[in-house]
Amino acid sequence: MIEARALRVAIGPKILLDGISLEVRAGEVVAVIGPNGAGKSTLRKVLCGDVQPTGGEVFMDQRPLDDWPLTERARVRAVMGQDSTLSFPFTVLEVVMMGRSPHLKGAEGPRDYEIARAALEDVEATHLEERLYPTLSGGERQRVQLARVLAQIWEAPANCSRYLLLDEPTSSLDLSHQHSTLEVARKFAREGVGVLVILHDLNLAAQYADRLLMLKDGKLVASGQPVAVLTSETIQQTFAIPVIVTQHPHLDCPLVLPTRARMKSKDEG
Amino acid sequence: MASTAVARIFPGLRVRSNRTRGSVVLIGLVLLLALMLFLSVDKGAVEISLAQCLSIIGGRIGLHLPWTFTVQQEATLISIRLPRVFLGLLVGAGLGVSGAAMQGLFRNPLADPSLIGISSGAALAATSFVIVGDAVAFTLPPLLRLFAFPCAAFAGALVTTILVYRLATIAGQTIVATLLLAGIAINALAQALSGFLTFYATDTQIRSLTFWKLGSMGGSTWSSVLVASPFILLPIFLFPRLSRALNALLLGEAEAGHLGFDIERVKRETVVLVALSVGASVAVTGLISFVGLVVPHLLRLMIGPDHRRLIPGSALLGASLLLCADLIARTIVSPAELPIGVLTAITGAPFFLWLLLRDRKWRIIH
Repeated sequence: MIEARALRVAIGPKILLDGISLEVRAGEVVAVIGPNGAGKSTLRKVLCGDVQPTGGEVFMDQRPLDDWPLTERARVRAVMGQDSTLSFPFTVLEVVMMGRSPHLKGAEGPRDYEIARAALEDVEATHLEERLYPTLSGGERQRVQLARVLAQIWEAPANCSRYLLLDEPTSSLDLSHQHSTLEVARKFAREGVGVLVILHDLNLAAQYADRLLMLKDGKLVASGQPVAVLTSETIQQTFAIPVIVTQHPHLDCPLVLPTRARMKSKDEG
Repeated sequence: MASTAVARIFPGLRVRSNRTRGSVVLIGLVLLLALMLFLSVDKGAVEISLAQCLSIIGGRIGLHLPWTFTVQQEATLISIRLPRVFLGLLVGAGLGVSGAAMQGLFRNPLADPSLIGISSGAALAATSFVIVGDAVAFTLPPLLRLFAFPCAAFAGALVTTILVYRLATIAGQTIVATLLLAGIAINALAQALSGFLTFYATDTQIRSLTFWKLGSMGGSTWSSVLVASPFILLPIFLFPRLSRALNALLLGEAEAGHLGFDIERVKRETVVLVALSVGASVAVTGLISFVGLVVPHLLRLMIGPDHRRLIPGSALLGASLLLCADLIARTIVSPAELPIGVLTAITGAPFFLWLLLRDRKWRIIH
């Protein structure tokens, strides 16, 4: 379990995170939603140890995050950030193989290649294997980076839970890949991985997450099951946009429909 | 991009992975280096064949070999050519490796120790040491003095590297424009300060410092080999241990940290090792620019950017390239000699311009 207690991050007078506590348990997908500047990425950076909180603590499996030796931590927890600036001509397979680094003693073995290829298959990028990374499109890069972090925590070390932190993994993806990405996240959760994913699309979050955390101005405004969090009042207050929330016609989850549109509403007509 | 370049260079070679191709290229580089070694020993004002060379060296260690040689050939080989070849090997390998590591650290293929001012910083520190040291009649025992010069250059290189890194890197991101502009500023400043120091230098000092700064292998002796080897061999043998971390660093600092590498330590070690080899190279041969830029770049085109192959490859190709440049420098205007730094700059600067103009996809300048 990744556990954060009363996290607070302040830079000068500006408070980025204010008293956030949360848990990500093994086997569940937790989505973080909120408007731009709400502190979602800051939260992710604190949870993975990139940013030291001004107050509060982060634990992973009951152990303070900073007490974990770096390699050991990297074997059980992978992080996908928003932008990776790789501009050197590695092949896609080489990039994914970097995910195996924390597990290597010497050179990569055949098992590492098997894992890297399986991870590429999961993100539907097998055909890109020999392409050079800098020549890929934004969406293709995002999928390759996802494959890299999947390959990193592909197998669980003995008696360890695994965790996956994804910061807007779908931002450059087309509709079908947005869904396949979150399906992969679900698949990992089924295998016992605790997944935390930052999302902008409320409907994606509603469909795939077990629990949602809604952030605004560095504060947690709502948390719980999608049905409980995604109400028209909370969304209107948090995102400042009028919405209708209804039941998804085919799936067992809420569906959020913004009502501010170019077209006049039928009622007014 | 790399694969098409390889296909262009070796049309018959269609090896799938960078890894397999890497081994083939590395073997080729070993053979190339052997050839350059042979040519470097053989060619020059006095010709010495490989057989005679073996005879001479054999004679020194008590082996009697049948090939005859003259006294002049023996003297040339032992006290001029061999130290020069060894020094060329060391400096070339050191510059190649430090260029490759520097580009990994800055995550940019333009970060060459001479372009971003590290060599000038080393040269300035070494010059100050000579002029100020002599002016205040600062005397050290000869052996210590021999090592003090490269130590001063090392210190200069270290300070400049840290300075440039601090200037050009904000929150783990290198701003390439700042990096190159900082290089220009540091080069200018170092030149100005050297100019200022020449007021205090004697005429002999000015003459020898000027030639030294142009970059020359002319003064190679066994003692310069002895002085440079620890400084340069240490990085050559330690850098391979940092290869995987440097690879990960290319993804970004945070990403490399998430893969379990201790990034701060990797950066510190890289900076110190680069400063060691650049400092020592500058101390023994002066400013030889562009080797650290050209060598890793050519290799990346052939075998990809993986540092596990790039670093040994850069050592081999750097050594070959420097031996080749030195061979040309000392034979093209024979019996006179061209400063090797002039030669590498004449060929390296157009290469640099070509890099700037080519392939915007790499986005080396943002």
